[in-house]
Amino acid sequence: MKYEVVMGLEVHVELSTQSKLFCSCSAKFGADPNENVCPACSGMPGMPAVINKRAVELGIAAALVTNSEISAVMTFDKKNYFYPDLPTGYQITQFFAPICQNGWVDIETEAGSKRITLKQIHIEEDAGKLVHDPRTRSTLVDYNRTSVPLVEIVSNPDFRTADEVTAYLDKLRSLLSFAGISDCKMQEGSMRCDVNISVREMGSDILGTRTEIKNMNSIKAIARAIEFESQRHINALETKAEKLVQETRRWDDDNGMSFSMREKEEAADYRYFPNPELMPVFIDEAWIDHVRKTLPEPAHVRFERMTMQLQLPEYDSRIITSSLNLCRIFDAVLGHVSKPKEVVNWIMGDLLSISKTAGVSDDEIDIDCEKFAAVIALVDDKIVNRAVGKKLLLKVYEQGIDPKAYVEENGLAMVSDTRLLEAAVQAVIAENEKSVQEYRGGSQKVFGFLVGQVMKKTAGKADPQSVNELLKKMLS
Amino acid sequence: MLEINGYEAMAMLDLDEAERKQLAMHIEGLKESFSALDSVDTSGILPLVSVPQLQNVLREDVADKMMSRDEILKNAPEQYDGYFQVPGTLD
Amino acid sequence: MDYFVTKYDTNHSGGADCAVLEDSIMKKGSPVTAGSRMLADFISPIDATAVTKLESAGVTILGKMRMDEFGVGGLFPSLETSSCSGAAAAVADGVAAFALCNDYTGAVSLEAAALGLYYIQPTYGTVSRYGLVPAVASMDQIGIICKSLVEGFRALSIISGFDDKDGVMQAEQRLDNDNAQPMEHPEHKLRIALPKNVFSDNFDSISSHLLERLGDVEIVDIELKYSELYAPVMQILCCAEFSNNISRYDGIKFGYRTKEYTSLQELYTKSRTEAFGLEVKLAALMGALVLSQENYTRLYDKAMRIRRLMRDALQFDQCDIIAAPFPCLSRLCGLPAVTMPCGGNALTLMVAPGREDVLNTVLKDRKHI
Repeated sequence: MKYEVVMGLEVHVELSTQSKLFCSCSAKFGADPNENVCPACSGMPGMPAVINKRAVELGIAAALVTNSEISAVMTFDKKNYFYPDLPTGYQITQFFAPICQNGWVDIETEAGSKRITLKQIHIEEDAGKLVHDPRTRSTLVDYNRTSVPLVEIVSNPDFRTADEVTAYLDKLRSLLSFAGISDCKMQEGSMRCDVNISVREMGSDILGTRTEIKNMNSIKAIARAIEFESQRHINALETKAEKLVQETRRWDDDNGMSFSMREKEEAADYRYFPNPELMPVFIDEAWIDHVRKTLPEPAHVRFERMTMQLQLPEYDSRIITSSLNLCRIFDAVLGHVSKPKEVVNWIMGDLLSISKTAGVSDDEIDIDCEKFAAVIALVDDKIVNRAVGKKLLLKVYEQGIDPKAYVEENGLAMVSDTRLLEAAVQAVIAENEKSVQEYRGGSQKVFGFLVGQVMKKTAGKADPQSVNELLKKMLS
Repeated sequence: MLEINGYEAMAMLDLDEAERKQLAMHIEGLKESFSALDSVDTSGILPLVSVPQLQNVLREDVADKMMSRDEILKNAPEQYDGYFQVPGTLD
Repeated sequence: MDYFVTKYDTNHSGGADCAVLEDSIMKKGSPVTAGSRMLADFISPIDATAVTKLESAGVTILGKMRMDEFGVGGLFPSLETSSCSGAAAAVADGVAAFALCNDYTGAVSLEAAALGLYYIQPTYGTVSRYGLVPAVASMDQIGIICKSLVEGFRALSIISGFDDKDGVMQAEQRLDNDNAQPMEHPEHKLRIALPKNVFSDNFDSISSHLLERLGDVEIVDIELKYSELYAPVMQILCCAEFSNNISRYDGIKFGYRTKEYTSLQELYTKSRTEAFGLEVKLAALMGALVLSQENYTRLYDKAMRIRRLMRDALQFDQCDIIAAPFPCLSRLCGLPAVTMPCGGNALTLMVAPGREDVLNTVLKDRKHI
């Protein structure tokens, strides 16, 4: 029997606002517990909800980058349930009239390209965080994350393979982070994904029993969870050893298994109803246009510009356009050194290796682009060699040095005096008779060694190309 | 007698028998009186959630710290190390 | 009767320029209980905007007054629990010139009228709810109990007006009730609707009292459609919103926590069951009922639609004031109203939203009926 896996995704993405959705507490990740909390977001009575305008605008932006139909009127609704991470006993979400519907995202996999259609995107508030304390067997509650604005992006059941899911999440992450809508960090929980999965016989148009898997905190874990869960469904269909029930399951990545979340099994009645504390929000064309104007050039348009107009390699262009920050750095440096290929090489080869060593993500690289450009110019004008340039860039990144002044102060300019260089080469030839003989005997290997010796004699300040030429000339 | 256990669970209440009996009677009476609504034809009428002519006051996205953690935790029945504390949810 | 729950200045003798607050309105650093055991130890984290405005206008706030638990008892006459508004009693005794109160059910208005007082219900959304313990969001509105409407409308001028800390407010600027000018009716006399269908056999006595009081007015005969549904629609809408609003009281962050519990579930249910009184429990259960999947469409959704019909049936094109023996219509439709004693009965006069000036000019400086 051949089976088909049918999946739909619910992706939660925290919006990149300064403050929370309904109060002015900071929405920043990583504060000490309960430091970003006020009476409103800890459920105390007396503070009416006040909508964060920026959150709505980022919601509109999310609608735009996913080609969704934006509602002229959206409402906020309430979902009722008791849990310690929900201090009011209700979540403010959009149930009856979400911000947008019917969007789509195109993805590429090895199997080709495919359009994933979206049911809707809605804005809602995040819940708090629970920390289990095994020592006291109690649960500790932190409301910093409570009421941080989210969008939930609900797809139709269009996915058939884990590859498609992975490609979709990568694409969403690129679209959303690029437009500044969310930083989409799965590790920090600013991007979370639930997978609805069912399995049916190939060719059937009846959906099988659906389970929802939660708690995957990396794209790789999602792929593993899909693999496990679809196999579990297939086994159940084939062997009938296990009866599939519609339920929510928790993914345990350490053990590579999904577990039933029993407390959610009873179909909860969330008693959704329109939030009488907030009026409908009207979204007119002017507002949408205003948001559209603030969006950066979409990544795929920029990619085309980089590869076609600037003739840059596809691989490099893809890396640069994967991060809005890298695009900004590229643009800023290019403004000073108008050699696109050089700039890309410096970013790809040097800057990214520095940031990687420092453990900094592409979106967080913080470098003075004018000084970065100055380093490139110094190398380009043959004031310093490439190796010194590399060191200068590290100093710019770490200490923000002024490269020009630093070169002068530390005498790093290349040895351009030919007589000095000739003297160094002669000295090396004299000191390394054995190697010289080997070279003359046909060994190319020792040539590199001799170049190194010359560089050493000039304290690394010689132009390696000049050394090459001179050495060859003098050895022949 | 009207079965109200489901509503008790939703409302997070656990009534004793006497109270349950008393309230179930009232709820039954109220529910009956609500059948008066059935006679009104509301087709084509939109729900009125709240009184209209009001507008939302949207807030600019500026973060500001209103209260210290100590002030927030001041009203808490139990707290531990900067957290609110409840019995284990995983037990 | 001791009306005070909290007294701020024990030496103050009270009287003119003094106000009291129903205990659902917050004054920072002092307890706010909303009449519930749940909040017995809760300290207000903020000052209500209305309180801030009163204090900066030089009004002395004497203290917080006893109230029905979350003010919800008024919804269920069948429970026969006697309502007791400390705020109304205090104003009747001359302790304070006026009191602030959130009378979303209308029960306090009737109690005040029985004590010979006025209750001014402002247009919904004109007084900030920042610092008010919420009960029924679509009807929550701070109003004023007063002996003299001059004092009452002066207080309204002080506390009303836009506040960016309340997410939903009328766009208009502060209502200037202090300087309301007498209305001029070049074309017609002031038209007061006395819908016969909502008055019982006391119609004649009320209309004659009203004419005596207001002088040269025209009585208009309109019908208030759907009036037989006011009570059930009020109950459905209020219970739904109320049950949702009180789900914040769970014994975790603040408020009452049961002494003994072994699980989270027990912490929730015992804390809530022990702390809430009978009316609150009834409202919570009714709220769950009307919002449940089983009943949502037939009860809650239906009630919202009928609420629209009720509002649309108001005929302010044919009259300036609608009089009724009950205040709930003004709550359902967000209308400004004055509830007052009238020949031994309570009468509520309602006007179109934002037209407090009509009530003010017609009723101000006149004696009780």
